[in-house]
Amino acid sequence: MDENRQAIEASIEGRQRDAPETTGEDELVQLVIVTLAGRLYAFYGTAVIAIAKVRDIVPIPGTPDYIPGVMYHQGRVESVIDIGRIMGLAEATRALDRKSRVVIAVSGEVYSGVLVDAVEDVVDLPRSGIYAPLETIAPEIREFVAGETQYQERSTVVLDLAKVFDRVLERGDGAA
Amino acid sequence: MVRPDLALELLIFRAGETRFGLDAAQIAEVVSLDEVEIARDGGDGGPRVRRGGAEVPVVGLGSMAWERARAQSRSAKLVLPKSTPPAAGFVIGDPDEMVRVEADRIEPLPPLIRDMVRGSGMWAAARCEGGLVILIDLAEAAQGAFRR
Repeated sequence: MDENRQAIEASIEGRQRDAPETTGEDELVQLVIVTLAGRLYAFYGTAVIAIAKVRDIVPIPGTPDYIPGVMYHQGRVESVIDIGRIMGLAEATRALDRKSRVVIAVSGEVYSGVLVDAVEDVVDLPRSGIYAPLETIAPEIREFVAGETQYQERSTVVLDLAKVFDRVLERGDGAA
Repeated sequence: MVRPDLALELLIFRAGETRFGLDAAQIAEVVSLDEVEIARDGGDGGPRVRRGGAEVPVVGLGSMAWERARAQSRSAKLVLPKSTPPAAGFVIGDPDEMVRVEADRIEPLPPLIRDMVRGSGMWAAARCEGGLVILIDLAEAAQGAFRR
């Protein structure tokens, strides 16, 4: 049996074992389901302050290409980061359209807009519905992954925005 | 609470898709690049112009590089800050307008951006008609340019 299949089966087995029966008492977790490069991802709702339409992102010279710029939203100037580029998603450079959104998110003292191709839904689901990520998850995004879940029977990777912001701070310091 | 009497007179210019604002109180003069004497056209130490008997180093603001400014010397402008002699001259594209912006329309740059542009002089964004204008502090921009 090839290694990939072994890894997949081991992971599926673990996932099934780890997933307890959902009960009415199971704690609910809010997820914001988004599309990036044609795939579904989710952010924890606790990290999301607002969801904004994309308008007038002003580029700032001297910032890396994963920072499209800054945007004014409800009394604040927010940085906008292109999470697809940070995660190295090959198809992340597609043009903005009417479905594109900026998810305004916070982690500790850091807040920023996060550019996504679309926001699909905001859902509450039991914490037990979020599994450990598959071993086969793409290596370039693994460091940002908090777990996996199912949304409308599609595999959905739950991203930890704190890790994304950490990466930006790590890479961006003194970039000008 | 922001004091309502605090305001900046801004000289607005555009570089690429971004509009920038310079505090007029920091500016001594704005002259066309083709009206100044070029003392040194690049090389070690960068370009310099002669102004008031002194050689003044020149720095591009926004995305305006010296070479491009030289190629567009009729529309490119040299901004000289208030210091004797000027610490630096800054080349910009054609200025768009002068506007007054109250302090309550000025927001600090977001923390993620602030670290990335440290030393560039960019310090805030102002909400003006037509969208955000990025504010540049000329004194900090001059210091940052020569540290790099």
